[in-house]
Amino acid sequence: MSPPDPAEEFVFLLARHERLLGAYVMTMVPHPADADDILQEAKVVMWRHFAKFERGTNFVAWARKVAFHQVLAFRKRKHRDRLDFSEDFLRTVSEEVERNGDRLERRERALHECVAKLPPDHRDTLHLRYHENLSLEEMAARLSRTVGALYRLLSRVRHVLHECVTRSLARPENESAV
Amino acid sequence: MNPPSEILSLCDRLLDGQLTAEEHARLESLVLTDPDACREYVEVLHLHAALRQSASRLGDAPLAEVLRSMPAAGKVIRPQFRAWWKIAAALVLGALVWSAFAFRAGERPIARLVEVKAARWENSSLPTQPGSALQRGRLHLAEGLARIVFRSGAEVSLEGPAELELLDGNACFLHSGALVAHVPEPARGFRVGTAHAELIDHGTDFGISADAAGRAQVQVLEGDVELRHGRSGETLRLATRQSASVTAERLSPRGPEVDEPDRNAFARAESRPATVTLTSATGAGDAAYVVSPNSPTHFSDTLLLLKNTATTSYRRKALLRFDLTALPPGGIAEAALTLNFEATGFGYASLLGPSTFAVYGVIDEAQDAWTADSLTWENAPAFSPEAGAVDPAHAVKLGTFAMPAGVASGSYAISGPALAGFLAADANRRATLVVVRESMERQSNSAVHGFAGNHHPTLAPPTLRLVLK
Repeated sequence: MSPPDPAEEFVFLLARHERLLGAYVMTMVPHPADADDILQEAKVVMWRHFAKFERGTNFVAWARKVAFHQVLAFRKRKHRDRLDFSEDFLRTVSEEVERNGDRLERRERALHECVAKLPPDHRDTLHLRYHENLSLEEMAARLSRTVGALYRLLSRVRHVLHECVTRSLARPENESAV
Repeated sequence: MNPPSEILSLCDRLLDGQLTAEEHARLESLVLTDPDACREYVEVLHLHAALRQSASRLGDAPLAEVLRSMPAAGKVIRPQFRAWWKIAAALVLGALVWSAFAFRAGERPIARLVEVKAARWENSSLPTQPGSALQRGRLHLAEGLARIVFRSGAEVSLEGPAELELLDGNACFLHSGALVAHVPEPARGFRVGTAHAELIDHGTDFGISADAAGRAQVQVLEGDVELRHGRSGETLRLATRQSASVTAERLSPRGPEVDEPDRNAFARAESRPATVTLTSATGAGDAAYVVSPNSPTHFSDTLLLLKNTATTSYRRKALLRFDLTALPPGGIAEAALTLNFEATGFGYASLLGPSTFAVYGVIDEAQDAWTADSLTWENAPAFSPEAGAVDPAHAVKLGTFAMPAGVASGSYAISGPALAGFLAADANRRATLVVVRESMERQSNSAVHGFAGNHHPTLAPPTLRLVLK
């Protein structure tokens, strides 16, 4: 058998863990477009340095380090008016994600069920916000509601989902499911 | 449903682009100082990211359908695999030139110093600023309270005087002093080492103290801890309100007791010899400092000034006399002299190099009769024109102490057989000591040192602690 093609291996590993990495970057850079840029750059860097990745070791941990470095690099590069978190904050959050990777994956699986349980108008709100990527103002115009009302509605939906996911993880059958 | 926590509300505003600068600062400080807030923040942001990633995957199907149809994390779908292959290939062939990627893992902190109260630090190998990220190393808290949160979430309040060594994100070693720990669920397994036993937490709040000899006492405030004895290998489980003591020889469980842990129980249990505390303000004691000639200004009524400089003016030395007549006969086994330094306001402490000080005992008993009013630079006991020395024919060196660069305050002590022997041998029961700064100032304008004399409003005067035979 020929040794595995590095490109194929890379693509396989990345496809498998990309969602996790994307979420990881978003915990540090909540702005979606910035987070996407950073993730994209991180992927390029990972590929260029894939030779340095030791086969058989933890790809996610390696990829996270690369992504973390890209977050820092991005912060240095962009002098913007947007509020940025401190490096201390980024490290703290990054460590929290690192420690709880398994639990966060379990939460993501539980999320699917929780979304299915939402009333239709709540699901529509999520759809507009997350699928169509509308801002609160655009949503307000589309739904003929005030921005304030939508803000409260979205907050409530997120809150419901957060609690639902947390409750669902507390149930013993989900404790160790992988 | 519970009302949304502060973190949830702040996250909402963050995600909808409505966070103000104040709220941003508040969010950051919550996440940095409260492990529960940090966990919640990550969960909310992760949920947000998951919704976003899932929703952008398919067309106009209802979102719930979309989410239901999503692969569980870990599974690879083939069409996507192909798409990724193309992207990866494009990257390989792409003409983009990326700068070399200098990978820097960075030292990860293992804990954070989140809060200090009335704290004074001795030389510590770690930063002591509130908010500092802490690596492996030692914290030496002279007094006050310091709250440390480990990476695991375990939270420790260290009570000075105490010396704590941070080992990793969920373990520490208590060399001496006391701490109270709060260990939330994710940090279960938090370990506190002491000289003779290790404590392993099983989800609890507990207090532990260790004395200089490594003997420890443990009180479980709530929950469950395990003790492992170093020498015997014995283990002991303690539940809420149970306590135990640890010596080099054994672990001893204690029954329910008064809820007032007695940290000095060990010391009291050994019938300790009598100790006597004497200050230079007691009896015929006195305390003063002398200044070299041609130094018309810069005096202090409350501090005894010390300075060693190359110029002949503004040199200062301190003299102390202790009245030993009240001591019972029988001799002195141990002695320690403590001096309480405070900033004098003369010169800059930041220009100070490391400083060493020496304490001399005047052996010529004819010179013990000095008074603060009649004392001058030249008529001082064991006079030497040098600022950092005394006349060796009339005095012996009893000990030295050192202060790090830039420091001009804190308590410093000398002890040992030389001091005890000198005091025990004093025939007229009046002991005169001379305190000098041995190190010469590195540059002009550096601070003048000073320690409390007999008339300081708050600091204790020079104090002898004697253990009698």
